[in-house]
Amino acid sequence: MTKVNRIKWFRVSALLFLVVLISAQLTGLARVGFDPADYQDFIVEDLRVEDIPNDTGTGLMVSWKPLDPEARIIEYRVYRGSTEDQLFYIGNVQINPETGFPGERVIYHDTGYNLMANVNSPRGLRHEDNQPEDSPLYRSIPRDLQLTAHKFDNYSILASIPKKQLYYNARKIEIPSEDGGDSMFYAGLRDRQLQQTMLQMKADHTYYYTVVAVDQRRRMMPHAPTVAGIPRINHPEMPRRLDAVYLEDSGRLQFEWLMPFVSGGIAASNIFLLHNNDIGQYEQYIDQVKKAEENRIDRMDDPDLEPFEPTIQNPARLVHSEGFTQKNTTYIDLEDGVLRNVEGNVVFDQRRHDINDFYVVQGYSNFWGLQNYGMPSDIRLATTEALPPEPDFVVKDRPNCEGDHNILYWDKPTVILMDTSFLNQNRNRLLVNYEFETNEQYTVNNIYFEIYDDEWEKITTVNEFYQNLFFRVTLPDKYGLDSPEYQIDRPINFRMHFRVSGNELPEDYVFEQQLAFDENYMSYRPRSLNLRGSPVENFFYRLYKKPYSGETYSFSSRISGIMREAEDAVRFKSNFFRPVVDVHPEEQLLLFNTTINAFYDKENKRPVNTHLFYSLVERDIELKRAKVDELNSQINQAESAEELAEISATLEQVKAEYNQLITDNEHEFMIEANQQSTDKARMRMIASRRERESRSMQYKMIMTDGHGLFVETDPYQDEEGNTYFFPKGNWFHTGRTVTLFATLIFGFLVYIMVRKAKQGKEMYIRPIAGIEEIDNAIGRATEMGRPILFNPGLDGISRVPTLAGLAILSRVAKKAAEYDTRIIVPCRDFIVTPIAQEIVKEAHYEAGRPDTFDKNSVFFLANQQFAFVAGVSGIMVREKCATAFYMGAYYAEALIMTEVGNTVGAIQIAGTDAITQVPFFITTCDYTLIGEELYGAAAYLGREPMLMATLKAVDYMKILILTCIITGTILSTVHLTFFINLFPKQ
Amino acid sequence: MKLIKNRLPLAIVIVLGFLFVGYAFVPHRIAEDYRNWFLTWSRSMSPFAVLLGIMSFSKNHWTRIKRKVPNWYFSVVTFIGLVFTAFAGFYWGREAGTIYMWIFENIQIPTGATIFSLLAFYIASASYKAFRARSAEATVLLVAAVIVMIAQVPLGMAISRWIPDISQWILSVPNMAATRAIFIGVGLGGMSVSVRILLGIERTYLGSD
Repeated sequence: MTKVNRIKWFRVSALLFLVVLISAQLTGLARVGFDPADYQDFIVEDLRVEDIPNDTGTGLMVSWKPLDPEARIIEYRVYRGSTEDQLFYIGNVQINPETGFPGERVIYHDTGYNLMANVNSPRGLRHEDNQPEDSPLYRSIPRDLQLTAHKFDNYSILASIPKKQLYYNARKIEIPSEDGGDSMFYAGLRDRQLQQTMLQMKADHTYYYTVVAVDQRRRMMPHAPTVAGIPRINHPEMPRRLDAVYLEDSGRLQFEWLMPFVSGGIAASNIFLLHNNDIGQYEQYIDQVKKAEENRIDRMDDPDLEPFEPTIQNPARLVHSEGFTQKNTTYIDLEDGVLRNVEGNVVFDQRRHDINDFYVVQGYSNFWGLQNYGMPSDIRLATTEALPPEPDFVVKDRPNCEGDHNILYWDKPTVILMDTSFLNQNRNRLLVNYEFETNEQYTVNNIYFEIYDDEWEKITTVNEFYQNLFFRVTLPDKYGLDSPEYQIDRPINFRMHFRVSGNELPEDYVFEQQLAFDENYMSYRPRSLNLRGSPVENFFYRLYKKPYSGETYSFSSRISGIMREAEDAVRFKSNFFRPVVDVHPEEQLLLFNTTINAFYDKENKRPVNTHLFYSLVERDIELKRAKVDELNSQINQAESAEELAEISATLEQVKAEYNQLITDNEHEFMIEANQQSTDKARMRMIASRRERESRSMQYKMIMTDGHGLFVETDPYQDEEGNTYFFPKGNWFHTGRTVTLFATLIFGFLVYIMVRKAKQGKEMYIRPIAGIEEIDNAIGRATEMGRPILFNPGLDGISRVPTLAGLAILSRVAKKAAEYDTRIIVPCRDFIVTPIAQEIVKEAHYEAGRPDTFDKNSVFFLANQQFAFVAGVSGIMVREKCATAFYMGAYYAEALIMTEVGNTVGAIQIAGTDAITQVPFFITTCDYTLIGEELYGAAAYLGREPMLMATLKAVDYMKILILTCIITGTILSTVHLTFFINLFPKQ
Repeated sequence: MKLIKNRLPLAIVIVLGFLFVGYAFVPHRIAEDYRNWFLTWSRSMSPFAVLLGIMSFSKNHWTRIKRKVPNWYFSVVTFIGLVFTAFAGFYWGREAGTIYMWIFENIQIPTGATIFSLLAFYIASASYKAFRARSAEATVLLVAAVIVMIAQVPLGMAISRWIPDISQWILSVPNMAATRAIFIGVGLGGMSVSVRILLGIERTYLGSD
């Protein structure tokens, strides 16, 4: 063996040894061979499972003692099951291994719906990693319904179903009755038709938990001993805060409260009036309510325990009760100064009582009849003059959207100072930031900032004719640090008003605000904004909406008092959330109720239901009719008066149901829907109406101080009397009119230039050194007998610079083929590689040298940025490339490649549109094509009239743009901003 | 053959291209649904693209090994790396703590960072080349660069309180003007390439012009 061969084999052996060593090391690091039994010290201790208070019996709190930080735990994994032998992963608590868990106990709240299964879930049971065969830990709940059917007894299961699947693809499934009665019908869907299923614990069922610690090396420690817990239905949470205001002149009691943290299960919000003499009794009553609740929970675990009943009556009188919604304001109008409780008894009479002797109390009651009460609050006295003005708002379909937004606007424009910063050391030059809000009704042309000193001597007026949200101001000398009159607490006063087009603004519509020095910020900070002496920011808006297909307002958004416009998103609903009522394990089907709301009967305020399948509607009618007939015949055979009365009552009820069914299906819409030839056509019609009704919104606003001083508007009604607004999708984005116009102009210029080119007109394009040198660079490589390296950038085929780079590659490869010079094209993108191969191959064919094409010279190198640059650099060094082209999109790797090219003495020509890389290319390459020159290079090289025509069109377009820029600059300099406002800002 | 290789792809590009031009001006949900539908389909191309890349990669390195070109054994190492990493990913998974992630964190990231760190030295050498005051333009560049660099550190403020202001002016006026000019050129150039492709004037991406 020669010395050279010995060295070569030594290198190979060394490399292989290294690979084997790393592999062995990795295997050692892997979890293979890890025995959890060796890690008994890392088992989680003191695992507890407790009921979550104030919930609906669907949550448990799991807590445990954290392991020592030295264990380097990165995660605690929580497992839950309805039986002890199958516990599924439900979630984790991440831990910083450097610090460990900071508290005494790690807490995990298992509440609400958890993911049960989705398309990524395994079909069968899969044990958790590194667990023994008898381990109860499983990664996730499997999709196979034969394995999970039992879960339906212990969990409430909800499915997220894509609308189209339920409407059009659900199967009608008949389950015969076991007792020979009527069959049950369901809508059946397979798991792959659902987006996912979710499950939630049921009250009073037992669940088992364990926790596993995972260390920094991803080793799962043995699991903690299993602990059981039972979620219980609790009373609602204690109301947080209630504000009450009594408007003396109008005799109205207004209430506003903070929403509860946990609102699930609350059925009603109640307001009570409490005399101050009864405070002591009320407190005792509250104590007894708490004790009764504790006793109720304890008796669930120990039924032998003595029940505790409150012995004290609630002294507070219920004066208002309403269903719990997301609205947190209400009011009661006193009739002749009298307030009655819900039974109609007088609890307050203005003539006999003093309102100051009373408190108000809020209470919540839930669907299970459990109650909780808040602390008594004072009643604030005010008059209607203290109320904010009622916002006079307008609702419209938002333009330029896909049909999922309505827009609301109200009132007149506002302006507010936001912040300041000093522009000089003397601190008498300020940069002032401001913001303004307006709406469709007012176009702000100018904002005038009149600036006054602390003695209301005018300093200057700033005219913001173009609102760039800041301006600079020079303050009098006395504000400067150098001045002997300098005082740190000297404020600056502002008066701000508008010049608008559209509607007129009143003359006294002037905002006032003061800037005062804040030592914490070391700058002037704005104080409260006032309009006509009243603070603007003390009040804010709450927007509520309700769909046509319902009667309950839901909270939409909270809006600052200075805002004058708001958008409300009316999202497209793509999924249904439906409870899974049963399963069909043999067919692997999840079963759902077949009823669906067909439309909303506004007159009777009720949704009209129907079935997904028309045959079930007919069946329902038939069954009810048969039932009526059967009851009628039973009446004739009744043997006693009691039996007769009982059958008659049942008959009346069934008749009412039958009549309702007939009425519903005789509705004009249902007749038309039911006449459709197929269930799909019928559902398409119903779906269309449902969509419109559920997305048509009615709006109302509340302006409030957050403490009971509020005004509530009526629902908005437009000029045509519409109160519901359905957002429609737009077919043209009006904000892009200028863009469209520019595109059309450009298209027209291209057309003109192409036409001229076809007529044979000579096109002059200015010479670009980098492009002209391409031929010389290829010639140099030919003369030196070395290859050319061409790189089409790092981006994919969808990027314009890559396409431009490939166009240049075509020309370069053709020339290289003509000169019989090898061209190497390393690619970073998978899709660019075969395209580049095809381009180089075609170039060789066109040059008449197909034999010289080497497919291996155009290849995929690496997808990682720096792996790619290392590869390119290596190729350049090994192949000693004479010429290198870099044409495309580049990032941080550009300089590395070109510097390596420099060291091997290659002539380098680069072209990119990446602004940040241009300086590096200019510095290290011989020639650089900047930005658009890259795009024009292929056309320039080809000298084809059609391609040259597009370059010419670009030049004319640039002239047009420059003309617009210069015109806009001149006009805006003389305060004429109409021209620049024609163009979109984004 | 020409129909499959040239005309059909060209027709697809032109039709879809114009549809996407339309999408820019149509905010309607149908346009958005079309785009999402199209993106879903285009994502499905990724696995095939990866396969193409691996095929090209393997063929290239296999040829190097077969022909025993100089340093061919690096290709063997490359192959081992490819196969082992893929095996580790498929067999042990890609979660934190697996062999795949170990390779990524302890081999790929450090090697990438090593190459990236070379940039610091190359920037220094590139700066030296750029800032040699051999002409009036290069002198202006040098002065501007010195001001901007000094203004980035407290020394700038210590020398003169004007330096940060001048630096900011350089960045926000002449620098910004040049950048915007390039952006306008890039925008128009990109549009010109797009028009050429949409009208079928530029067809190099199909393998021929």
